[in-house]
Amino acid sequence: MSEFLAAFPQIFSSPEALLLIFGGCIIGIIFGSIPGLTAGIAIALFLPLTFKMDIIPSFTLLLSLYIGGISGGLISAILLKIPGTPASVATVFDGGPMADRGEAWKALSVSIVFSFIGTLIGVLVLCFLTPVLGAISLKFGVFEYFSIALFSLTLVSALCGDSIVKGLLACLIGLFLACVGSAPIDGFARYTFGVHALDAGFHEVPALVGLFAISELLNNTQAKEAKADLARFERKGFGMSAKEFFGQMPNAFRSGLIGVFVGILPGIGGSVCNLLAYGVAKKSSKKPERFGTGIIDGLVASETSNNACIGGTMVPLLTLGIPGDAVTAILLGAFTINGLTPGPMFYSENIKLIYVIFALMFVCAIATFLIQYFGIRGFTQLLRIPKNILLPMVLVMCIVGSFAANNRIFDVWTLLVWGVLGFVMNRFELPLTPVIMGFILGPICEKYLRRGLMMSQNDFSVFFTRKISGAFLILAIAMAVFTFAAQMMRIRKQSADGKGDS
Amino acid sequence: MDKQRLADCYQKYRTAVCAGVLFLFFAWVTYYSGKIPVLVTTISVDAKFWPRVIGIMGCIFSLLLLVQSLLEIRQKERNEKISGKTAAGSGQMNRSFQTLGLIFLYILGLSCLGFFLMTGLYLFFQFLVLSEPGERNLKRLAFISVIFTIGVYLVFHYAFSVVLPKGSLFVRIGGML
Repeated sequence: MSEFLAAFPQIFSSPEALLLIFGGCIIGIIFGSIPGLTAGIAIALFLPLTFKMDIIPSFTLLLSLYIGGISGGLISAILLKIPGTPASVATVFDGGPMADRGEAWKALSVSIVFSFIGTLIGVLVLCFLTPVLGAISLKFGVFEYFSIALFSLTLVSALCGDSIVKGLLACLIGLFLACVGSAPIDGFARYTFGVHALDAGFHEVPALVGLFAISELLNNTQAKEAKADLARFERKGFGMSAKEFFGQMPNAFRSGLIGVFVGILPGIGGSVCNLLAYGVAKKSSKKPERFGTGIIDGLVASETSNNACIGGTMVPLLTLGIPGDAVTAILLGAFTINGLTPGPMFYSENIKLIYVIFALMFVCAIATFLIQYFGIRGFTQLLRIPKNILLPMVLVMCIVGSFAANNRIFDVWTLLVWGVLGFVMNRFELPLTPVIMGFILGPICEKYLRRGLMMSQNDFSVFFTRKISGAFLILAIAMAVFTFAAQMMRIRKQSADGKGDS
Repeated sequence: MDKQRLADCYQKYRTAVCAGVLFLFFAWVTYYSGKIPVLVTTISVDAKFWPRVIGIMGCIFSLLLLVQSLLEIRQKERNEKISGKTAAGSGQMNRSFQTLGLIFLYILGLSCLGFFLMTGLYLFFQFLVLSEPGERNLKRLAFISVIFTIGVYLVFHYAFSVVLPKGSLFVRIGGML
């Protein structure tokens, strides 16, 4: 607790801290609230701007974008009935009907308050869980690290998209792209074809921005502009009584824990946890038939869980150096740019920094709450900006941001190539998150595998005979086999159903 | 062949084509891994080891995907419910390709004509591509293009000290003057 409290003065040690927090939260909320733009795009876009910053200001900006981006999704989910981010899908179910009944302010207010509570639950669990996992991770060696990285890649591949085979192939594409450049340990050039700009491999920023943002924006150019009516509202207090607020606390606590737990598991993230928490809240309710008609229980479940998920995704990143989703993969990139490598020693060596990150998340949650509560009318005006104006502007920002990464045009070409790759993969329904995870975790996997095999003198069985390493490898294999078997059974069942019908 | 049949064909064979392309790609990755130079040591895990593992695994999984997609095609044919999802309309796909073309020209022109000229031009034409024909107010779009370009330049140049490309052509002209 003392470390947590001691971290606050460090956040505000620089004069620009408040500007970064409020600026980051506002931009994050804007990205979150506009359908098609996400927190991930905002973070990828602003990552190059943090290169010249110290670690604390850099994380101040990135975390405020993250928290603001996830919270912002509720605005369009309620007022337009279109979720601003995938994490706010379940908010539409009850937020939309409430707005139709003229209770838009109540829906917005409840969502804003419980988003804030969700972030707090996530930060609290993060504070308690990180030291425990950090202590356990000290026992990990090269064998365990390889196995955990492989387990994470398998989990992400299995859970993203509708087919594990497609997920694994996407992951292998990411692993291959990470091979381009100099090999770890011996430094031989691989797949560079004499292009010296590729000797150090693809730069993370243009690669991630291209794959994540450019492909999404290219997809958005196809989508027709939503002509939904923007619901009107009058601001009145918090929109709910104290009885209603306290009555929702068990629901909020349960949904928050679901969010944190889902966040800890690699590859699932906010897009699933809000639906899961909504489903659990509906099942536990005495009046489940009222869900979807415009009651605050559904809003509380969705918004508490998706914000609590942020804390969950940070747990494996800070303790093991394993990102749980695309956003934390970008945050891992931010650590590396600042010369830090999250991993087993990271927690013990950077304990002050870790508590600064916890405190930052706490401050960002408060800032997001205040900005959303008092500035809600301004954000709703942004929903009126036409897409044909907004998308090109974001594209220019992506291109300028990629150029700023190294001040070279080669990185802008990288951005385009990765953007086209993402766009083509979307057309073939190949998931993108495993590519990002493969690209980020590929070098880690290869380095630890080669070191491990050198230590064991080419004996791969050591990876299985060591307890923790073996457990993770068996889990990874079991996960892949069971998911594949389940998908094959589903295809057979559909085939049998078709025969029966005919 | 009419558009609907083309769309059906695309939906039907998309995964199989994807699997075939990926198989060829990973076969190439495996083949090319043999050309990576290595140190002559007793350790078998050299620089070509990991790409070779990726290539072989990729070949196996793309074959699995091919089998899976063929099974699904057979099932769909049996059920005679092929069309299902609607593909993006050709007009909307055109927008993506036009956008890609514009981004390509923008990047190509950045080093030669510089940030100012290329960004202004890119934004203007991109606005036009994405606007519906009846909603194209040229003066307004040109004004937004110029203002946004100046704004981005000022923010990146003064707030983040990023030197944006001036354009080799203008640098040469400047040198000659």
